[in-house]
Amino acid sequence: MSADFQESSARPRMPQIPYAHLSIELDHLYMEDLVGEGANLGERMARVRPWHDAIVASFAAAGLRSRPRVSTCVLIDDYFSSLVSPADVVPRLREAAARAGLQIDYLARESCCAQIGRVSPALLAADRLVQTPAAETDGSRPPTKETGWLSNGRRSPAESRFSMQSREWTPPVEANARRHSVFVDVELWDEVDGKRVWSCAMLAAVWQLLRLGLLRDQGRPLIVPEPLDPEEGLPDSWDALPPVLQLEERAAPFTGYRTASILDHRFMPVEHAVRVILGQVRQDSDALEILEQRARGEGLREADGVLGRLGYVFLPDREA
Amino acid sequence: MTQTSVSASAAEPPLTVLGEVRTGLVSHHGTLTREQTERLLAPLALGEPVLSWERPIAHSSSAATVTGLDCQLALSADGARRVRAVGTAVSHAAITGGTILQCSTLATVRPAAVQRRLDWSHYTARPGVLETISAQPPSPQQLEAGFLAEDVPREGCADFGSICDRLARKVQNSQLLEGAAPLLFQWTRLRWAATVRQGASGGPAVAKLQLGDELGRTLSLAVNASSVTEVAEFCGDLALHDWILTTVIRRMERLTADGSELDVREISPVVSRLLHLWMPAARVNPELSELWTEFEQKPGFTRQWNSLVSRMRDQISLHTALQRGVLINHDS
Repeated sequence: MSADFQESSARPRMPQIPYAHLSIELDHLYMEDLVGEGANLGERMARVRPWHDAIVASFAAAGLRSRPRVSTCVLIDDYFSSLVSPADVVPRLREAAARAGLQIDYLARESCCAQIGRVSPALLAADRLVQTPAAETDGSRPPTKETGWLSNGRRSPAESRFSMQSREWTPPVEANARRHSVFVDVELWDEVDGKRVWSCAMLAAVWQLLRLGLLRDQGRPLIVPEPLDPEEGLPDSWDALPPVLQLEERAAPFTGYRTASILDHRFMPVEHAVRVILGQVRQDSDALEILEQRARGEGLREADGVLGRLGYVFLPDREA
Repeated sequence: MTQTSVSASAAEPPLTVLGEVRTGLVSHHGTLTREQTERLLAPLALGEPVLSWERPIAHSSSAATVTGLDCQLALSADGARRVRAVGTAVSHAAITGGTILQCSTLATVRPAAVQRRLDWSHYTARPGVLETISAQPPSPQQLEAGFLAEDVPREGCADFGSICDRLARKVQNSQLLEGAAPLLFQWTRLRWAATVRQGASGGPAVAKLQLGDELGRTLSLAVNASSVTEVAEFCGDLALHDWILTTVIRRMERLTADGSELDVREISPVVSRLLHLWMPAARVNPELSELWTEFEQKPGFTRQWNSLVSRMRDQISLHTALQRGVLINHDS
C-alpha cells in the first residue's frame, strides 16, 4: 500500500523561457541622438554592421551544433527624456538598419528597466545585491551600506570637517584587487521630490539581466516581447509602447545565453559600473540553472557567473 | 512537496553543510493567518515566493536572503586550526502554526578550485556556497569539529548566529506585528553540521544530538539520500520540537519552583498556543524520518512531551473539579 500527498503551493517550478544563442544590442540611443539633422542613423548603423558580422562569425566558429540563433535589439532611453515620438523614430531606425544590411528584431524602452506595470525590475535587482565582502567579514556585523551607492571594495573612512587636519587620508581599496586598486563607487539611484530616480548604470545592469532572462518576479519572466498591433500602428508616446516591441515576426528569441553590446565609447564607464553591479547581484539559482543547462545542451561552453556572458564593442569617434 | 535529492555519482566527495537555527515566538499576541504570515515574510526577498504548507501544520518559509563572507572556519574544537572561506551563506525565516519563528542560516562548504579569492561574481552565482582556500581541503570531520565546538562566536570565524539574529530582528520589527509575544520564552539555538554523502553507498544515516548549556544544542548528521534543503528542514523541525519541549518544561519548573500547585491560568496559554504544534517529522523525507524515529527512542521526545501534556491536563481537570466542588480540598 502506498499513499502520496502533495501540496501545490510548495516549491513551484520555474517556468522555461525561449532562448537565442546570442542577443546583440546594435545601439543604445539617447533621445538627443535622434533629433535634428545631425541624427544620422544611417551612418551609425553602417558603422555597426561589420562588428555585428564579426560577433556572429566568431560565435559560429565556436563549435555550435547548429546555425547561431541571434536576435538584435536597440535600446531607446525614454526614462530621462522623450523628445521624439515612436511614430517618428521607429520607421527611421528600421530603414537605417535595412540600408546597412541589418535588421532590428526588438526595440526596448529603457524605462521598462525601472517599471513594468506594478513591478520595478530595478528594485528587484537592487534587492538582490549582496555586497562584495572585505577580507575578514565573518557575518557578525551587518554590511556597511551607503544608501543608493554600491562600490567594488572598501571606501576611504569618512572624515569629518574637524578631523581632516589630524587624520591621514586612507585610500579606498578594491576588493580582491590585483595588487593595485581600481576603486569604483556607483550611484544606483537618487531622489527627486521624494521619488526614486534610478541611475543609467542601474538601468543598464537590469537591461543585461533582462536580456539573459535572469530577472524574474515570482518565477515569471519580466519581459515578454509584444508585436505591434497592425491596426493601431506606432503611437505618439513611448508609454503606449510595450516594454519590448517585437519588430520582426520571425526573429530569434529576445533573451540570449550571452549578450553582445555594440556601444558608443561614451558608455564605457557606464558599462564598467554595470559590471560592478552585476557582480554583486545574487543570481536566482533556478533561473541561472535553466540558462546554463540549455546552453550546455546546445554545445556552448560554461561561463563563470554572469559577467563572462557579456561581450562588448566600444566604437570610437568616426574615423572619417 | 516534490524535491530532487542530491544525485551524483558515488565518486563525488561528500558535501559538508553547516547551519544554525534560532527558534522563538513571533512578537504578536494573536496567531498569524497564512495570509498575514506571507505578508510578513515576503519583503525579506522581493520578487520571490514565500513557500507555504497547510498540512499537517501551517508552515511558511521566506525565500533566501544572502550574506557575503570572507572569513575563517575553525577546523578543531579549540579553534586553533582554521581555514579561509569565501562565499555566501543563505538564510530563511520560517513561521510554524502562525506563532513560532525560526531564523536559519546555512552554507555548503566546498574546496575552492583555485587557491585564491575569485571575482565576487563567481560567488554571487552560487548562493549558499562557501569555498575553502587551502592547499589541503579540510575534511568533513574537521569542519564539523570546529563548527560545533564553537559555543560563543569566535572572532573572525563565520558567525551564523548573528546573521540569524539580524534576520529575526528584521521580522520582529515589522509593522504588521503587535510587538509582544503571547508568553514568556527564550530563544534556543541549534548549530548543526551535516555530511551529505552523494550516492547511497556511505553507510546508514547517523544523527547525534547534544543538549549543551542552557539553550544551545548541536546536531551532527550524516545522510545519503537527502538534499541540502531536506537536511535543513529536518534540523529546523528538530529545533522546533526541542524549543516547544524546552519552553514548556521551563515554564512548569518555574511554576512549581516553590512547591505550590500549578496555577491553571499560567498553564492555559501554553495549552492554547503550543499544544497543537507538536507534529514531529511533518515534512521530512523517509531517510530523515527514520532518524526522527530513533530520536523518539532516545531521548524520547514524544514520550517526554506526552508526560508533560498529561501533567498539564491533570492540573486543569483537578482545577476544574475543585471549582465545581466535586473534590474537597482539605487545605482550604
